[in-house]
Amino acid sequence: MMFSSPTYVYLQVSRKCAACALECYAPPDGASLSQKEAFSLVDLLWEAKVFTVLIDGGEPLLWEGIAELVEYMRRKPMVVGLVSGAEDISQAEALRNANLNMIQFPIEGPEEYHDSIRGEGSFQRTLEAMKTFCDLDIDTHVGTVVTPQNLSYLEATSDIVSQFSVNAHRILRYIHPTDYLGPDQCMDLLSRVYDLKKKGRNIIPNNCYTFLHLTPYKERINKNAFQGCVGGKTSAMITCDGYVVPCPHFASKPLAESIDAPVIWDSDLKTIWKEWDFLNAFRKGLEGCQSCSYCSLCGGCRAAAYRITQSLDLDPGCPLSKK
Amino acid sequence: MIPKQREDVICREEDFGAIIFDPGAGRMHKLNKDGFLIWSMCDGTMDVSTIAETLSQKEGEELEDVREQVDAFLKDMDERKLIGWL
Ligand code: SF4
Ligand code: SF4
Repeated sequence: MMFSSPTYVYLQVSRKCAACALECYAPPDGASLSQKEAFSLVDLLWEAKVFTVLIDGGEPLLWEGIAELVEYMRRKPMVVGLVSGAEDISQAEALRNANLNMIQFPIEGPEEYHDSIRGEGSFQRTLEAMKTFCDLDIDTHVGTVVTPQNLSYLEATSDIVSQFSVNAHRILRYIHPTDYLGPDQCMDLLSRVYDLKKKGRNIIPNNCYTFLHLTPYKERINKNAFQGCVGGKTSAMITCDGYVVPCPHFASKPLAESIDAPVIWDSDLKTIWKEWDFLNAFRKGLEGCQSCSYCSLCGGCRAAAYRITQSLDLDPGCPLSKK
Repeated sequence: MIPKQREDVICREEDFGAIIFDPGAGRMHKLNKDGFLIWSMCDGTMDVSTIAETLSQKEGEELEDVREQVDAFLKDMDERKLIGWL
């Protein structure tokens, strides 16, 4: 079942932020959408009946006019979320008044570890942001990118997050050419996430652990809703240069160019969605997954494979990739 | 009883049928082709019997079977709060 265009789009408003020590999918290079471009992109998305938009960066809270943009989208009426690094929360009330649906902040681990990644003082700033947005009654989520370095902090991180009334603690995947979690570490992580879940924690591994059904966490998957990799199936990303890419892990200019990503100003979204060869190959799942009986459900993380081999070959975290 | 689509929901036609987006709940609902056909007739002008008769003629299927299908679909849409009744 193929959709005529995405239903869910990540919109990167800029690649401006204070930078962090994780190798991010969109390293800061100062690029940004102009206000005019952003508003006209929203019109294009709404015309294609894209219902949900997640505003991404860089740091979207530093983008001038962010509350006005959210308000414009909500009046369409799109569902609007925002992924922030908690660098500036001066727009919190304006975002509440704009009717923002959801915001997500990062907690990478306990204070010392978090600050070693995101800069001194950023842990306390993030806690303040979480509290501020929870108090404003905005649906607030936390995302933790799990790497080999913070894997051991999972429970401690969950303890921190559970002190706030956030609605979800998302366990995100680190996509990196060498420093990724291998199959045993993924299995360990996802069984510990499952244990935390059993304790009543609102912790959720994201779909990008596409092989969740092979881990103890499978007990918690909603089998009717789980989609594995959603890139090119239901979602896509538009970068602040206008590139259409399958998912946020292709959101840097060099990566977008490496896959000959089409530019939204040159073609319409529906045509790109249907005709772009790379996206069609992406949708089919990884080459190493084609003979796996789970391929249509899972298909592996294409971004993880691409970052390691520059091809859509094999998901390095999948337990079956060991065989 | 006349079923009517909620005015604020948005329908996007697809090869497999349609997606109905409920902006209030932030939810999407997938409809297959038959569902989309029934949905399209829920414009507030046709009662349930007329919808079933129209569909039965169009598809060349027994009215009784089609009526069951229409009832089940409308019950589902009602439970999802995507339609109201006039
Ligand atoms: S390619 Fe990987 S990171 Fe991107 S959406 Fe798919 S599973 Fe997630
Ligand atoms: S081999 Fe591919 S399709 Fe099969 S479980 Fe692993 S990642 Fe998923």
